[in-house]
Order: sequence, then structure tokens, then C-alpha cells
Amino acid sequence: MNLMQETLMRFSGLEGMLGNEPFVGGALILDVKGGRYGVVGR
Amino acid sequence: MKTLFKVLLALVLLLVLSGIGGYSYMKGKFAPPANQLTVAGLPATGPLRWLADTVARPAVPHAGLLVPIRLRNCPRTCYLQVDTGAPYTVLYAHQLTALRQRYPALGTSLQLREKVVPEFRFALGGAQVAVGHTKVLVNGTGEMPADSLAPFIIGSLGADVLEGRVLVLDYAASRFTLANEVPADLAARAIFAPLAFPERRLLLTAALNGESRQLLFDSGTSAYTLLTSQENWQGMAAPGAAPVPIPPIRGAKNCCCTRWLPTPGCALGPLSFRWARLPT
Repeated sequence: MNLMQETLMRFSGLEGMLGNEPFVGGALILDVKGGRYGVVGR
Repeated sequence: MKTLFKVLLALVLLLVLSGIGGYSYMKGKFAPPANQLTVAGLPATGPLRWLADTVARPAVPHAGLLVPIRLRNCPRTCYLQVDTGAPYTVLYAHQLTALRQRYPALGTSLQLREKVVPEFRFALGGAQVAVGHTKVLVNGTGEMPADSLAPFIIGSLGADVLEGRVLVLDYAASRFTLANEVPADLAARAIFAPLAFPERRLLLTAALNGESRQLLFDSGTSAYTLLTSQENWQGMAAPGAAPVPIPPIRGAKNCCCTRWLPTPGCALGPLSFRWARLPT
């Protein structure tokens, strides 16, 4: 994690960052229009 | 006494005003520029590809997520890295130069004007995308891979493509879908949880050791599973369990890799992280 990410995370109230790995083997639905996301299991 | 009071009041006022000023300054600083990306012809679907980092030790097979795009008058398929952590789409200067030299028929369509491409048009899985005022970063190797099947990455697709739309990243089938609605067959099989999109940042509500948290989804830095603070990480340790050192994935101490427990019908939603011992 670089300094920028760390600083942004600390000040933006974010509680963590996710990469692609948790979803690999399944599917991730980013329904920005509907304000929801969905996961199809692996 | 009265003078002292006035001076104090003025000081307090000054503090409050500079606080408000500083806050709005920082807010403006981090606010993304207006969204200049438009899409016609949805839904669109196409293949998803992994970019492997073979230079890193150990090699990272999932270093980046790529989508193919087609440019008018360019026979070669180019690629954009899917970067949901970036609020807007960018292009890489050296790659554009290489493209223009190889394919003069591109003409002035990718010509830079004051560090931006005024109108960047491409076909993405059957849809027509236009990005006005596309920022160009001094980036890229400037070399086109000799192997025509090797991905030639000319930029990254930011969260501007997501605004008001639906993006499905089907990692299992290696396909993406960009649409206006969630495909019905997928919606029936998926578990949903709230998503927020402030300032074009994707925040997914997930459970960290049973507690609801908002996590930023950044498809552009794929080499890790979950990054969280030391406190959250310590909170995730199972009671009584001795902490097992976790191999650093990226950036050592604040990094932790945990098990993903997708349980259908789970009250915690589709994403739940728990501290887990790594198999030794």
C-alpha cells in the first residue's frame, strides 16, 4: 500500500480496499444504477 | 475585558472559517471532473482478460483486468485496463504515439491537444463509447508487442463508465457485460448488498468479522484480496486464536489475506471476511 492510498484511506473514512481476488471464480455485479452490488458464488 | 472577548471571538471565527474553507478546498480537490463518457448501444458484452505480471517475484497471474476495444481504422485490437479505483478513463501517451506510427490511417483521431484527446471513440463489446476531453498520462512502453495476440494496453477504463449503468465482471466465464439493467438470469442467482458511489468511488458494504463495513472496490490493483487497517485486522482475529503471521502480499503490516465465506441467505450479505489461518 503506498502512502497516497494509506492517507486517502485514513482521511476518507474508508475501512478497507478490495481487489479482484475475492470474486475470482464467480461473478461480481456492480449495479451502480440500482445502488447495489451482487455476488454470484463460485 | 470587552476587548479580550472580541479578540477571542474573532480568533474563533477565523478558525471556523478557515476550517470550512479548508474542508471545501479538500472536497473540491478530491472531487472528480465532470463525467464526459457516453455509451450507445447497450447492452454490450465481451471477453475479460488477465494481465499477468511475470517480472514480479513471485509472479502475479492476476496483476490486471483487461477489456478489448476496437478503434476505427485500426486493425489491431487494443486493450484498456479496468480500473474502478480511478474516477475517469485515461490514455497512455507513448502507446498512442506507437499506434499512430504503425497505423497512419488513424489520422488525427488520437491526436493530443494540450495533454488531452478531445474525443476518444472506441467500440467496447458491441457498444459505442465516446470519451470527451480524455486525459493522457505519460505512461506505457511505446512498444507494440510483436505477437498480435499479446494485449496492447493503451489506457485504463475508469469508474466514469459505471455511472448510472451496470457492469458485470464474470470472472468465472471470463466475460464482462455493460448494461442498463442487471441481466435477469444473473439477478436470480446473485446475493445483493448496498453499494454507494460517492464521487465515482465504488464502496461495497461487506462484513468484516460480523461487522458491516464499507470497502472500496479497486479492480486496478488486483494483487491483493483485502487491505484494511491494523485495528480492523486485529479485530478480525478469532477470540483465543494465536495470530499467525500472514505472508505479506503488498506493503507488509497493514495487509491481510482472509477467507471469503459466501453463504447464500447469509444475513451479512454476499461478502464476509473472517480471520483465517493460512494453510501451511
